[in-house]
Amino acid sequence: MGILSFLIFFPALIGVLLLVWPNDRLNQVRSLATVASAIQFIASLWLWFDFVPGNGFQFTESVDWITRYGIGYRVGVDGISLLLVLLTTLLTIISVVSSYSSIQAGLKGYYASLLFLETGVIGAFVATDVFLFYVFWEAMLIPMYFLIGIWGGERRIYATVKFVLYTMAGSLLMLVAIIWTYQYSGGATGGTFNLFDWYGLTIPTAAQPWLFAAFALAFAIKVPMFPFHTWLPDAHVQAPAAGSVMLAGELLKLGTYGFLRFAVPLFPLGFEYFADTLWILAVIGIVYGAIMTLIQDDIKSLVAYSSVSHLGFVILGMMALNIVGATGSLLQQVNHGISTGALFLLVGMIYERRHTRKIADYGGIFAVVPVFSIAFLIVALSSIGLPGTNGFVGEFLILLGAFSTRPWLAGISALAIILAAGYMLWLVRRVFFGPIVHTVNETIRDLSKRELATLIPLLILIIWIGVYPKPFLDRIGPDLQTWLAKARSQQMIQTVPQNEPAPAAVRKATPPRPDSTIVPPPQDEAPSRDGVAMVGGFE
Amino acid sequence: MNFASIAPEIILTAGVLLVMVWEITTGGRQNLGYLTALVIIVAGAMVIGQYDRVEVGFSGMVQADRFGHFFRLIIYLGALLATMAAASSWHGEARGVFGAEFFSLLLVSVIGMDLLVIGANLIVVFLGLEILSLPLYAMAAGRTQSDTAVEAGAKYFLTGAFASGFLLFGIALVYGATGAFTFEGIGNAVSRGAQLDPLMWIGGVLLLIGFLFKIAAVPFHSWAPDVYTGAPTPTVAFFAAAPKAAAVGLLLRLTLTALVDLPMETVFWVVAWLSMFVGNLWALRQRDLKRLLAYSGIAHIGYVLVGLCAKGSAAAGAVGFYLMGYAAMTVGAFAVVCALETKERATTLETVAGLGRRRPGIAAALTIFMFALTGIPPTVGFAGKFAVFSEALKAGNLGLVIWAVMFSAVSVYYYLRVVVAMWMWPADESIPLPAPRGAIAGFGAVLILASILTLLLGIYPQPFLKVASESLFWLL
Repeated sequence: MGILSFLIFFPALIGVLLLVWPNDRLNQVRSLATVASAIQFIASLWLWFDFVPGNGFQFTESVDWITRYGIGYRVGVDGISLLLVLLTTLLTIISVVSSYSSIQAGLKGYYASLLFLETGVIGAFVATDVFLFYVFWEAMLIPMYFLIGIWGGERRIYATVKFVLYTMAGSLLMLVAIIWTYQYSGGATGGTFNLFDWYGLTIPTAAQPWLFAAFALAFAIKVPMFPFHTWLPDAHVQAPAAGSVMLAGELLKLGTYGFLRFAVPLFPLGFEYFADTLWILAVIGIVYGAIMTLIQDDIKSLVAYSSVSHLGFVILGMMALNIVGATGSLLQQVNHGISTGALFLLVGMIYERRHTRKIADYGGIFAVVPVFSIAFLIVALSSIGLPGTNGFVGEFLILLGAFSTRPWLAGISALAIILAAGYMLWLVRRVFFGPIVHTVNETIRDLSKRELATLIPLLILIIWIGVYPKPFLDRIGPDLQTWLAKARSQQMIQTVPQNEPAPAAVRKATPPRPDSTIVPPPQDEAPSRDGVAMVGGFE
Repeated sequence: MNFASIAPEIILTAGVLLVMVWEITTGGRQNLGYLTALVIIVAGAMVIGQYDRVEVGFSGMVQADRFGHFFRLIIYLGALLATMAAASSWHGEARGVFGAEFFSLLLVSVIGMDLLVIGANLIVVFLGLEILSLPLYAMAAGRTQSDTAVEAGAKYFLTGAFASGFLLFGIALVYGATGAFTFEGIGNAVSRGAQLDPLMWIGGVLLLIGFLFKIAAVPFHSWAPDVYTGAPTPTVAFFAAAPKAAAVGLLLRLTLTALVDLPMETVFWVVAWLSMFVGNLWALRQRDLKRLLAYSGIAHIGYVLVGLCAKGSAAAGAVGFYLMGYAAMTVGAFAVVCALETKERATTLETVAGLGRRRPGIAAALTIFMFALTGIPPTVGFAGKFAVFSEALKAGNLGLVIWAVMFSAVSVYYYLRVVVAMWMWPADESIPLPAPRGAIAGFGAVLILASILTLLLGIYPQPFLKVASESLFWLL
């Protein structure tokens, strides 16, 4: 058994153990979950140190599973999934520790759900078999459903049912597209679900937009992109603090990761067909999310809406289809997990003390809880993208990449950063500064050592990535180059005239440099006339 | 004669007598359910013993091949789980129906189902259908003090008689067109040109309608919700899975051998389309779990028929696998309903409210069944849907598959509502629940067995899919 299998199945095993744990030893449940998630995190660090940048998929394992349908248990990690796996293990242990005091009922089920969720998320990140990916993708709904539905806020049932219905509705159409591609991959011999074989398929031009749309709908709901975002504020606001952290830090990443790993490289022509739509939805999401954030009076839903805006940036960077934008996009996924995860943690901590999330119920608490306030300030600044924090590196790269492709849309998005500064700093001012209007706020406790311990790793990462992102960028760079080649390859092959020898097409397809000239597909072959404009910026 | 071809049925017949004698001689009803379960297990072992042999008996009237063996085992699985659920509800609360008459009727009905799936002749098929149905009518009306049960029995009997009429008429027309009762003879006649005969067409469709009644496919479904609600729940647990498996098995054999050159998938296409639509939409407003499961059964027959539309032995394998999983998850769900209801009160969403805190084990099992019925991995519900939809797409039925997944998404709502009630609603402590452990060993065994099957077939379906597709490949 390899390290990846351990990372996938160990939490599930402990989860089952927790479920059958004797009721008279409930006090051991927390320790068991903590130890398990700590082991898990330490084990995942092995990936970080043993990973060789540029070697493609590593730590791979492959076992036959359902041979009748060409399904295998195939896992592997490359630069795109490496950081996301590490983020998952880190956020899980933080979630476990941060729930010590906030969760008092149903301990066994709660911690088991957190661990099952970790299994599902890591499994989906490392699966290189599309069927396996789908299994984890769907299965992870179950623990999240219980986390929101049982340990959530007042309207938890509404929120959790909405969450599951939205995600299922999107992913079932993806299932049809997956099966279709599987049947296509087979021909006479019987198909396969091996992702690497799928990358080599030449899927008919006419089918690509449909397949891409089916995949993109599932991922767009998960991201969530405007206009599929309406489940997110409900789910976030109603979820327990740790649930929000897992949701923002891990589950939403699966949407953007799905675009990177599946939708775009598998169906590049379909991607091109919908490029205009996605650009516009991303920009609307960025601006709309920022404006909605401005008018929230609840801290948690403010953070939730800011997610919509931030994830719009992630999509924007990917849409740029150059290495700068893609790098920024992937890094920003990690950044969002760290910053928004930390924000949800902080909101959870203050909620535990005052049992309110209304901004108006606070004010002037900087003097009362200085440590909490400073931590919040650092995280808020990273969320805005202040230079020196991680958010700056990610957003800067994304905008740089986007400007070279579509300057106008990138310009509009850049305006949203100003809005972001507005809503975050306004929030900070209303909550932490000014006079104390509510006297009950004078007695709020400051952070305990345990709470501080959950925040410190995130604060370190915020500064580390902000000041010296090289170790991170080194690991993700080479695989993103490969990704770009895949995302563009079919478009470029299509542009080669029929009579030109094939090797020329391959040669043209390989250089993935951002500044390389891309010729728009000829009118009679591209699925869409509108898609041409996407690559027009390079000319 | 070759009695080996009906050896399991002989065992079951002996079981019928044994159960009746047992009650008279010992005067006790306590262990009748377990005795019946034992008979079914012995019959199943017999089938497994002769699994690789083809036994043709009685001048070709029955043909016990791997196809027949496979479906017999699914029928026994459904019957076994239902028997154990019934046995334990006898222990839990005396409802006055589950004496020897219940269990012997159940075994007789199983014999009829067997004849359906091993019959190679339309006369045997008709006999099988009658042997299957008559005990079910009696079982549905079994709770004689209850008006609803009597009404259910009468309704079931009337629609059943109607269906038998269709079937007989169909057999007559097919015989008129082909001059044969055997599947092989009909198949030969059809390939020689009888498919152009309008008599053959009408006869073939009428044959199918007879069985579509039995599996409660829309538009022949209207009896199902009322009968499910009125009949005693152990009976419902029995006829929710086993007879459906038998009828689908017969439909498969019929369309793949006798009617192979007729485009019968058009009929299935329409019926599948309607069943998924009606089953899922009507289930949305049900609060009574038995009614909910009745509509859910209609919807699931729709998914099964999606597989039947994709004519071919590979699709038959997927359908067989689906039915295996369906038997486990649906009988499991009915077992829970059965354990929670009392004479006065049906099992509704309010009954299961807060079950997660009051009886975590039962709630966990019902949760697994609900997720499986929804089709969420890693349960057999997902694996089965995947297999069936995959074969349907291979056959080019893209529109039907999209229709099916859309309604699978709809079904999330009503299945999850049960889960929501169990884990997220406050409990009503005034509602009595079965004892946590002890008296209901059979019930616990059903839940454990059905949950294990539901998860095992979902996580590691390979060997089961292999057996299913190999067994049903035998047909061609």
